[in-house]
Formats: sequence, C-alpha cells, structure tokens
Amino acid sequence: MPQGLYSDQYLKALIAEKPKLAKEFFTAIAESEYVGEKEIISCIEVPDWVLVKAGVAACKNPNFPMKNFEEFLGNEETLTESYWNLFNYPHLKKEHIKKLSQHSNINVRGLALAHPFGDHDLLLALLKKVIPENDHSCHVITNRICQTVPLNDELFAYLTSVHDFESGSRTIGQALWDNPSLSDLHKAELVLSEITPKGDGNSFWDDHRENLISSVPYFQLFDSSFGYLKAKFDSIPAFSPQVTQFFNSKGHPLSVLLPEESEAEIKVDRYVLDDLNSAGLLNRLFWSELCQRDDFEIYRRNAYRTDDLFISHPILGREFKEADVDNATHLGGVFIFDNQKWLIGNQELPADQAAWELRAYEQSMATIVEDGTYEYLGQTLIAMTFELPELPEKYGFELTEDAEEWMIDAALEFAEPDSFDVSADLNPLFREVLSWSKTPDAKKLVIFEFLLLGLSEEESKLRSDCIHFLGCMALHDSTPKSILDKLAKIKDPLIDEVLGSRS
Amino acid sequence: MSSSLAKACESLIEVKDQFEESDELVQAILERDNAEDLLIAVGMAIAYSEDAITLNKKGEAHLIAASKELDQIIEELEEDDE
Repeated sequence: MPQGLYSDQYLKALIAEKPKLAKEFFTAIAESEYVGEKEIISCIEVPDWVLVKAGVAACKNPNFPMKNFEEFLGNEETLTESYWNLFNYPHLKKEHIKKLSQHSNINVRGLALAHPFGDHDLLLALLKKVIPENDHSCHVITNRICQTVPLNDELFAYLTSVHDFESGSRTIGQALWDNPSLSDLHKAELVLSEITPKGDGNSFWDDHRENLISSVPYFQLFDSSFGYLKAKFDSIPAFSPQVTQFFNSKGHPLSVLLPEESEAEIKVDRYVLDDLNSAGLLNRLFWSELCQRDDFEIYRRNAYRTDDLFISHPILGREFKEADVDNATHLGGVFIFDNQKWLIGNQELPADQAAWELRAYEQSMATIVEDGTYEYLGQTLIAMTFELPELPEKYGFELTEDAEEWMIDAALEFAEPDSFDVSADLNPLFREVLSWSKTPDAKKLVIFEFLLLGLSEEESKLRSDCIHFLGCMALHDSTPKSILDKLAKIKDPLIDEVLGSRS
Repeated sequence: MSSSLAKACESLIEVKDQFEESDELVQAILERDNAEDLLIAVGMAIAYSEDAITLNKKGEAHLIAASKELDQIIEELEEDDE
C-alpha cells in the first residue's frame, strides 16, 4: 500500500455489506494497543470513534472529529508537544491558523504562518529573524516549513539565499526540493545554484510500507510475529472467523496463503506484495517444508550489529554464505532474527570467547587494572589461564569445575551480541498453517505472479526476496510443471541453477 | 583453611574493594616491579573465595606474602597522607 493516507477496499466492502461485522472489527481494533499504529490511523475507512481512541497522531485522518481536534488545540501542553501531528489535520480552519499564528511557541507560530491560510509575509519576517540567529529551537524550518509552504518568489529567493542553514539533518536547500509547489523555474534556479536534493544513503530499504488494516486478521490467523509491535499486536482480541471469510470472498491478497480454493480472483498488485512478503510469511510458506530436505536447513549467523536468519543450501544459500558477514541482511530472503514464534533460537557464550571478553588477550593483570577495570579481577584470572596455561602451576592453584561457568557469567554482563554462538531451527511446537504443498495450484500461480511482479522492481530488498522465493519454488517438489516451465522462462541464473539441480 | 590464609584472602579482597576509591593505591601497586604478582594474588583470593580455584602450598604462600606486601603499601600511603 502507498505511504500516507490510503483506502482499504476490503474494509470498505465490509463496511458497506456487513456493517455489524465491521463494527465488531473496529471494536476489536479500538480496544487494543494497536489502535495507534500507522495502518489504522492512515486508513480513510476508519471511523471517527476509533481514531479518537488512537489519540493525537490520528489528526492526519480526515475522519478525526473537529470537536476532539479543537480540544487538543485548547490544551497548551498537547499543542506545544504535538504540533507536528496537529498541523497534519486536513480540516484546519482560517480562524485556527489566525490564532495559532500569534502563539508564543516559535514552532507553532512558524507552522501556522507557513500554512496555506497563514500570512506568508509574517513568515518571511520570522524566518529572517530566526535563521540568521541560528536559532535551533525552531525545529520546523527544514523538516516542515520549507517542504510544505506555498512558495512565492520572495520567499523562494530568501530561502535559497540561506540554503546552507541546516536543521534536522538536512539543509534548507535540500528541503526545498521536497516542496510540491516548487515551480520548474525554481527547480532550474536550484540546479544553477548547485543546490541538490539530499542523497538517501539508505534507499535500499526504503520500500518498506505499512500493512493494510484488512491484513491484520490474517496476521492473527497466521500467528505472525511482529517484532517491536508484538505486544501491541497481541493485545488485539481474536477476530471473528467471519471477517477473514468475508475478506477471502473479496479476493484479499493474503488469502492466497490459505490452503482452500479461492472464490474470488486475487489481484496481483505491487502495493500488496509487501503485505505478502512481510512478517516472514513467504519464508514460512517455503522453508518449513524445504527444511525436510537433507540439503536445506535454517542458518542463523550473527556479526557486528546483525543477527541474520537465513537458510543453508548448496545453491540458494551460497551467496549468503560467501557474503560479508557484517553486511548480508540485504540479500534475498534474509531477515533479522528476533525470536519469531515459528523459530526457536539458542545462543551461548563459549568459554574462550568469554575469556576474550574479559581481555585475557592482554596476558597481564596490570594492564587491565591500569585501564581502571577492577570489577572482575577473579574472573579475569580464570580468563588469563586460557592465554597463559602455565599460570596455575606458576602461582600454585588449580581451576575447579565451577571456574569456567563463573567466568562466563561475568562476561555475559557485558559481552557484545556478536560474541555469542547462535543457532536457530524451526520451532517444533509452532502450529504452522502455511504450506506450499497444500496450496491449490491456482493460488500457486498467483503467488508466482506476485513474485514475478517483484522482479520488475529496481534493485531492492523486495526484488532480492522475490528472486529467493522463486528459487525456493524451483526447488520445491510440490511446484507444478506449468510453473516450473514459467520459472525457466525468467532466465535468472540462480533460478536456472536450482531448476538444473532437480533430479 | 588456615587462619593466616583466611586473613590474607580477606585482606586481598578488601584491597580490591579499595581500588575504586583510591587511585593512589592502584598507582602504588602498579609502580612495584612485582605488580603483576600482587594483582594475580588479588584475583586468586577472589576466585578462591568463590570456589573457582583450589590452592596448593605454593598458592597459599603467595597469597599470604602478597597480602603482607599490600598491607605494607597501604600503611605507607596512610603515613604519607598524615
């Protein structure tokens, strides 16, 4: 689904055709901690009483009631803490803006003056005062005003004259490039002045989008993991099975993962491919069965600031195995291990690594003490015996059976995550409902088409994921010949190699 | 455990507890030619008190000797302060 506000056609149909069921659906959402999440507050089908539960962040939704919005405006604390959210409200009136333009808080005043109803002469005066003083208490210049204010020539001329002013990790010049009112002439002037847009060093990951709100009951049905949102997601009461049955009947894209035949056509759409690919659903669909093969298993690998979860396989796992261990998460099918329910993970700190953490490599207690490290001198002594095996005999002691565990316990207090030996496997107690072999052939074809759509993306994580899953499809014994033929026509080297390996 | 060894262990562990508060003590130890031996003794006393090591006669003697030397260092520091 696209960024910003969106319409969820499946929810729209539920509201129109099954209003009672829709009410139950929204009640479950409203009663949960999940109510404030982006997919809820950004959906224009969400009714006002649910948005009110979501709080001030929901002001960007046009359904947010004016009465509640004005209560926020009247609360000085909310106004000065949440002005970012409040100025997203699409129904701001002239009288609101007039009043807010005189507010004592410089950010509130700046946003009000920059609003289409604001006084842009006064805004210019404000900017001319704040920018030369380098007053960074005004946080909204680059990250809001320059990006949204309707630009006139005078305002544009001043802002380009101070284009180097930086706030919120971007300059005024960079922010101007995001302003939709930037005319072609303005753009030409920016180019001539060598003012360029901010390069996005992280663009590889930027295709991440929120899920459709109608996908939430499926995630519940699939018992999906939600990372940092897990607690909020788990707070949603169980939806009635009728909700998913209704969405299935409308061809909801996530219904493609259910083992029953579909009554409706499931449309292949780029914007729902993310939903399908999110929460490890495709990984589960293929991997849980492929792991029954002798040459395919879950492979967890940690390194500096990463804890990657992937598979090992002579062909599909080769690129990951050979990749830089610090930088392989972007490869297709790889994700960060986060104790997902469908996996079971183990980690332990090996004794030699614990000794290293305790700086046994220094081979000198004096060096360690000189650096001000006194807390674990006893454990450090044990650690040093790993580097200096002659130490016990020299000083007249022997390690007991408890020594190693005592030393490891100390190192656990501060050991870096990449010091641990990690492993993971499919969780044998997880009730897996996703199965490629049980998926009807018609749905297999739809999944193939979804993944094919991902291949048309430019270089991205999503594209790499799709290639990996097409490779899994090529490997799986339950892939029908008609799809194998289509896979061969893609002419991707990895997929071709997997197809060639089929006996 | 002999009483002299018990006393030495107690004293060595107390020395370690003083490290956080007394840079002078740390520096005075580090300036000794046998600083490493003294600090190993502190580590041994802690490990011994946690049943992580056992000591033979040589080890016991090392702890007792190191304890005496460290007591001496502390005494000298206290005299300097006065």
